[in-house]
Order: sequence, then C-alpha cells, then structure tokens
Amino acid sequence: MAEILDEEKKIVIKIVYYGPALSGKTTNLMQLHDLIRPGRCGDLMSLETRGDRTLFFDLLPILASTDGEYRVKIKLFTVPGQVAHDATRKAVLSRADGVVFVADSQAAQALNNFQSFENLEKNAGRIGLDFEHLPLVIQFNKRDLPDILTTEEIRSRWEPSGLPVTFATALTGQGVRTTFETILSATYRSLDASHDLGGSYRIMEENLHSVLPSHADPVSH
Amino acid sequence: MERSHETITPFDREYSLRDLLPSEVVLTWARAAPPLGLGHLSVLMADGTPLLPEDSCGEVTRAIGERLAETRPGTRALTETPKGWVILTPLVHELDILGYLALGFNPDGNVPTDELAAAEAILATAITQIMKSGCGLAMASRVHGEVVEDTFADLKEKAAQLAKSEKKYRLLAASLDKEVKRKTEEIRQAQEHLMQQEKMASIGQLAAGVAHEINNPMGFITSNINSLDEYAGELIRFVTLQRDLIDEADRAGLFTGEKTDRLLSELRHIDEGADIDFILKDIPPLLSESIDGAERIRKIVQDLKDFAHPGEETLSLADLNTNLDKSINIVGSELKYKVTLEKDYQPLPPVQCYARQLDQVFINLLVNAAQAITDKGTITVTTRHDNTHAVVAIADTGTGIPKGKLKKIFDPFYTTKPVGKGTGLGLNVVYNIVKRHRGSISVKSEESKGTTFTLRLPLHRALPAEEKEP
Repeated sequence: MAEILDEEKKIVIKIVYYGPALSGKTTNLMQLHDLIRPGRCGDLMSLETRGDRTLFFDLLPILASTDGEYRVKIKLFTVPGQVAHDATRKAVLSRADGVVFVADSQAAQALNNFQSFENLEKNAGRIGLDFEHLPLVIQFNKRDLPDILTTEEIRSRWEPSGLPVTFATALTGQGVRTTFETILSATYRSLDASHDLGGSYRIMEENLHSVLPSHADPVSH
Repeated sequence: MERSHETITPFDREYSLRDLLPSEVVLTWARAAPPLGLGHLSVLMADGTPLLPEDSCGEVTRAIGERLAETRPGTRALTETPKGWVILTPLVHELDILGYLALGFNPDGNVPTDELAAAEAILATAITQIMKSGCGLAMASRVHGEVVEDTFADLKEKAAQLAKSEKKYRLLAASLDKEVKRKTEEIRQAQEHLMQQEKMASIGQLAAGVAHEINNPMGFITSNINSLDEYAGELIRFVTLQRDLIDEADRAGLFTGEKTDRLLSELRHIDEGADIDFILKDIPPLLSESIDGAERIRKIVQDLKDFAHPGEETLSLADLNTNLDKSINIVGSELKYKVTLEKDYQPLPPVQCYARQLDQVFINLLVNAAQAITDKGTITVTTRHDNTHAVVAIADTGTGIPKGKLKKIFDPFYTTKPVGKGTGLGLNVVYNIVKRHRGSISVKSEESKGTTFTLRLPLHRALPAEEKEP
C-alpha cells in the first residue's frame, strides 16, 4: 500500500509501532532517531503528549536513497497504547505497510499484550488490512526488568504463529536496530512482491538498510 | 460513504509547502520588506512556482522560478536577477525540500550583505518552524477529525442498538402484559375446574347417600311387584275361569232361588260397574310397566352408586381392542339400524385397568354417539398408543355439542335428553372412571358435524393406597 508519488519521484513507506500502553513504542523511535545516519533522519515529531503518554502519535521520517531516480521515505509511526484511544489507534494504523508489535516482557503484562494484539487484528480488519499477509514483527521489550517471561517461553508461544520475534531493551537501544532491520526486510519483501520495487523502481532491500550505519548495534549515545 | 474523504486526504499524506505555510503570512512579510530596506522577498515552491499568485516583484520572481526549474540547489545559494542578487534558502520539511525563500537585493548590486544573510537565516528558520508546527497541527486535527467521526459513528450505532433494544423491551413489556392476562385466565379456569370438582365431589356424596336410601326400599318393591305380577296372573286366570263358569251355569239355568238371584245380579252389577273386563286386561301391562320402572330406578341408583363409589374390582391387564369389541356387541341393537361402525384399531400393548369399568365407559360413549345421530351416520372407533399411553377415540357424525355446553357435559345430572330419557350421569361416570385410571378425556365437537371423545389411558400405573378401597 506504499504511496508512490510519481511527480516527486518518491515512494512513501509507512511502518507502525503498535502495542499496549507503556510498552516502549516511542522509546523505540527515539533510539532510532539517534541511530539512523545523520542526514537520513528527520526530527521526531511527538504530537500531543500528556506526561509521557502519547495521545495522538509520534512520527519519525527517514529518507533512503536508491540507485534509481526514486527516493524512499520511510515514515515510522507510533500509536497511543491506552485502551481509550482506540479510534486514534485505528486511524494511525490505516495504510500501514508494516507493523512492529512492541510487547511488554513483564509476566504481569501478558494479558495486556494479548488484548492489544487482538485489538491490532481487529483494527486491521476494520480498516481493510490483510492481517494474514501484513509484514509484522513482534518485539518483546524491557528485557532488563525482573519478572519477565523467558525467551524460551516467548519463543514457544510465538513460534507456531510463524511471526519473527525480537528481544529488546529499548531504553538502552538494545535490540531496537534488529527489530527495525527485521521489519524493513519483511516490508521490502512484501512491497517488492506487490509493487516490483526492484524491477520497476530499482529500489533494493539494501537501499532501505542503508539508512542505518554499517557497523552493528552501536549503543553509545 | 460518510467518511470517504478519509481516503482522499489521509492525515499521513505528504504535505506541500502550500499546505504548511499560510500565504497570508508571506504576503504580510512581502509588504513589510521594503520599509526594512529589502528589495525582494518571495517564497517559491520547489519547482519554481511562486507561493503567492499575485506578486509585486513579478519579474524577479519569474527569473528565480526559471532558475529553480533548471537546478534546485540543495543548500543556500545566490542567484542573479535583472534587479540584483538574491539569496535562495531551501525550506526543508521532513528531509524534503518543499520550497525556497528568496531574499534580495543588495542596494550596491553586489553579493548580499551580512545583515541580509542573517535576516535570511532567521526567516528561513522561522518558516521551517511554522511548517513543522503547521504539519503537526494539520495531522493532529485530521486524526482528531477522523477520531471524532469514528466515535460519532460508534455512538450512533450504539444509539441505534439502544433504540432497538428499547423497542424490544417495550414489546416484551407489552407481551408480558398479555402473558400475565393469559396466565390469569389459565389460573381462573383451573380454579373454576377445581370448584367444579369440589361440587361434583359433594354431589357425589349426596348421591351416594340418596342411592343407598333408595336401594333398600327399591329392593323389596321390585321383589314385591314381581311376586304381585305372578299372583296377578294366577288371579286373572282364576277370576276369568270363575266368570266363565258362572255364565255357563246361568245359561244352563242352574241358579235358582231368590238368594242366588240376588247374589248373581249383585255380581253382574259390580262386574259391569267396575268394568272387570278392562281391569283384567289392564293389570298385566300395569305391572309390567311398574317392573320396567323399578328396573329403571335400579339402574339409576346403580349409576349413582358408581358415580359416588366405583364398584369393587381389581386391576388386571386387558387388551382394550377386545374390550371395545365386547362393548360394541352389547350396544349393537342400538346401533344396527342407523349407524355404520368403522373400526381403526392398532395392536395395543396390554393396559393395566379395571376392565369392567372401562367397558362401562365404552358403552356409555357408544350409546351417546348413537343417540347423537338422528338419522343415519357413522361412528368411528380408533385405537392408538405411544410409549406411555393407550389412546381410544370414539367419533360420531351426529348433531354435535354447542360450544357453550361443552364445559358442562361431564357434570353429573347434566342432560340434554327429554325427561325420563337420561339421567345425566353417563358422561360423569365416564369422567370418573377415566380419572380413576389416571387417564384423561377430551372432547372436540362441531355442531351438525359431530363429536369426538378421545381417551388417554396410561399403560402402567402404580395404584395409590386410597384407591385400594373403593
């Protein structure tokens, strides 16, 4: 569903960070803002926050150059996690090309994760996203906290779904890059299949990955 | 569709300079520029189109536009116009150059002064900030609009649902009212039925007492009349012979003497006066009518006794089809001239019952059916059974029972027959016997079409203790 602007020679890809309240969606974007190569990343726009809570959404624009004449603009959005903002969540999710589901690893949050995931599926259906084929990555965040589900528990629970699962501590940036790379790849594959990015636009998967610095996981800011 | 514009201008679309920078702001600046010593101030789109449609410095702006159409500088650049040098600053939003700020000229015609460059930098930063907040505002208000519309749609749907359920409850309340009325009527009928039963029970006791009182004198009256009938026969034969003898002797002149004459004339006088001929002829019918009457009284008393206390009998297993045939044979004489009898039997399992009482039931129903048929008609006897009950239906094509009278037909002493023709106990006896069998009897009738009595008798039953003593 990528937006292709032929006049501006630009393709806009939308990736939405979804998940329960306080699971660290905005923190992921803040870390990416610091992580993306300078000049490739715009300002992080946080719209209407109350305290630390997102009321509308956050937006991080990223620009990727390609071998062809089309540029790729990757727009990262977060949704408000609080249950009450469902209509906003639905509006932000619309037209998403890929979704990162940021789950809270704490054992006590399992139910919230579950309800939020169910909500994602429901909203995807309401706005006409094909949930079965939507590029989707599950990130289990907050690995630094005590009383979290073990990676084995999480893997055994999620593996049957076939969805890629990553682990992160967004507060320190750990795993944020891996998650982003995973969703970039999944989204590229999906869009390449539907829009022939490589053939028609000479946009390659590595063009998208080029927004990240080449050395792996630099966590020093 | 109500929210179709959502797909036309989604909140997350790419915004142009025109979307983010109000042209009035630029117009104000352009007007304020000359007094500040600025020769030119304009804002252009990335492709060179001026943001303001009417421009005071048309010539200069056009020249800048032409330059931009050729090359789009990625950074701050100088360009020469017919009136002097102009600084071009890209206006960047979300990493994209959406347009340019053009500021000029230098009064001396040379490259811009530092002051001009500083003003340019400040203004460009201001514009970038305006674009950023404009973008935030545009997106937020659009999302907000979508959310409001969505919420409104949800609310409308909920309101519709509420209205629907309210309607449902109203309907429910109305039908509840109806249901209450129906139940009340049901209870009223049950109560009436109960009162009826109580009435019948007391009538039953009364009838039993009367029957018992009548039974004793009726016993010797019947016996005496029978003896009298016998005696009367003898006497009539005797008296007839005597009269014949006297006549014969008189004709032969055997009676002589004054005293004999006197006796003879007195005898003749009485004979004629009392009409002995008639008396002799009338005595036998009188007696036989009395015997008939006594028999009828005996039957009525017997019915009354059945009505109050069923006759003693033990439960046995019976094939109701056989019993029906037997009953049909008994009433055969009543049926044979005007009734076609049709049997529709199904083999029945043996029914635990008081067989003789059931015979009485069948006979009563068959007689009633026959009497309901005035000219010619059909009586259909049907037997069926399910897992628990045997079902016997006796249907006639007779006159039928008026609706208003259906309720009363099982009442004791209720009869439609002329006085002396029926006791009004037949169906009551039926009712009581069926009840004794823990069965049920129902009647369907249509005037001038016929009547159907349907009996349902349980195949097995445990006999309650009270029933063991009739």
